[in-house]
Amino acid sequence: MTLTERSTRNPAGAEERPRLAVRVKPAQMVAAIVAVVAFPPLGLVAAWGLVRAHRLGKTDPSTAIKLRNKASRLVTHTFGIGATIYALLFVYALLATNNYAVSRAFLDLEVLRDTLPMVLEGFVLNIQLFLTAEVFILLFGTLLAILRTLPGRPAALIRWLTAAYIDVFRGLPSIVVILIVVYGLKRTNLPLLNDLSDFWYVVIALTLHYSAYTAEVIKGGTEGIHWSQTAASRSLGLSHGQTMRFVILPQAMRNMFAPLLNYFIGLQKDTSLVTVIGLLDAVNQANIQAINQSSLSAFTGAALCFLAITIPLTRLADYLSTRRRRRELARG
Amino acid sequence: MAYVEIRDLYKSYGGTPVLSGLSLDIDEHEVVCLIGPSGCGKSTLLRCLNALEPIDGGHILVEGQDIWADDGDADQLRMRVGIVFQQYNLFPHMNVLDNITLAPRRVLGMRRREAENVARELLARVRLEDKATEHPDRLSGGQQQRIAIARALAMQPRVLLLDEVTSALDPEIVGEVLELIGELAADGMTLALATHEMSFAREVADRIVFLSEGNIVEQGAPERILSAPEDERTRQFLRRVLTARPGVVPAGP
Repeated sequence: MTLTERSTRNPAGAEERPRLAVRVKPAQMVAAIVAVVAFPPLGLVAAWGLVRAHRLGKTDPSTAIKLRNKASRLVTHTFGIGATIYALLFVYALLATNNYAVSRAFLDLEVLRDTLPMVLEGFVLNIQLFLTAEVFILLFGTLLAILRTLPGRPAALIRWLTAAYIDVFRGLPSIVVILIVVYGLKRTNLPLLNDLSDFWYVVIALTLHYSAYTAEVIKGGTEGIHWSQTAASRSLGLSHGQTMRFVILPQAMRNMFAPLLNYFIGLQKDTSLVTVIGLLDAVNQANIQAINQSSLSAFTGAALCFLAITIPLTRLADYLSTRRRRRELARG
Repeated sequence: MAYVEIRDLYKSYGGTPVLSGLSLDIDEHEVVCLIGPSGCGKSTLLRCLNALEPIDGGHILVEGQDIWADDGDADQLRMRVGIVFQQYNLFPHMNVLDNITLAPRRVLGMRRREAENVARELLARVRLEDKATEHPDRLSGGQQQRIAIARALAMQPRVLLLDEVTSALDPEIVGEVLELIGELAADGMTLALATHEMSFAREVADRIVFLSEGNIVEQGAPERILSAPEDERTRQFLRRVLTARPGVVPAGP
């Protein structure tokens, strides 16, 4: 019997094949019960759908499976909607309890408005630190990465030293590096290094710390390029340096953007550590205002400043890594 | 004196010997086909000849100069000995023209205009002149491999090493690459190629070298090696590869 014959004789084609009985899985039932408890209005509808699917399971499998799939999608929706409602309720409760104590402490709009100019002024310092340090970090980090990946036996000691540096500075909390550099260098009486402003000490500290991460990202990015690219380049007579510059780094850049951006975000947040050495950044300003105003709303202002920078950067890093993954899939 | 002389070459990876005391001469304008089971060391031999792998012992002499001697220069050698790989290894971030002109410009110091003229001539030779501005990932495997050959030729090497250059290609496009290699051989290019294409080897080679376990088992004219091999290992190998390909009459001893 050919296909066409069968389809003319039996257009639906479904009756001929006996369908298996549809069963509602235990996990789906449990999820439905949780949904009912979490958010009854939708949860009950979903649960009722599953019950009907279970009843029809043997007599009308095709309707049952439709019902079951629909109900199980509704369970997921219920969780989402329920979670949103609870989150909003929780925030409201937090703000409202104890006669709006939390709101007054953190969301006093008047205080926020009055203190924001100071906080913003402080935030300029955070931005300056971030941008200045980033330039040095990229330069020094690239240098470290180059030294770390020098080929050949004679360069072994250089590689080892660089690795030791990177390990040490990756392992230290940035605040420790800042404290050591700021308080340490001042006392050294070294020419040039003992009469810099605190701003530059912090730039040095952040550079020492973050260039170690940056070097690792660059090294990782170059190592992600298949060795056959190096082989092809060297076989044509290009030197190690030329191979790096023209063949490996241009390809590795794409892999480095997203992780580098993540460290930039970390750096941006770490600029607030200068509070401990008394520089007047956004956080320190907020702290002073909080003491003066007996409201913590200034901190909310500082938080908003940081979020205004970090959230877009985070989204960008996310977008870049998703795009890279999609491109890799497309290339096969 | 042969153009390339390999004397007593030793090479191992992490204690596993790959080449054990291999000696081989390649004359100018000669086409030498390396055959042998996978892992016999033919790819490693070619990579050593291009100084992509440091050697553990022995000597490689090109034009009488020992490339691993204290006064040897691997980059000098690579200008005279080009290599093409199984996986093409084109630079994916550059278009075809830049792939070909990178080394002439950066290593030979050619001007862009001059290098591009050379590149376009080579593209015409591999019959891909219309692909100059394409990126490699837009080309078929056979086209990419022909570009890779053009890229190696752009450095005007005296010897071209071809490392299983058709093994990664779909069967129906192997022909276009083999045809090109045949033309290079006819033009008098010195070629050393590792290959599994026995009928091609018979057609193009001046000499076939059978390797097994890191050394040469036997070598000679294609007819003799393929039709009347003396060593049992050669016979076994040929039986395996030739019966694996329907349509090719097995060459019995």
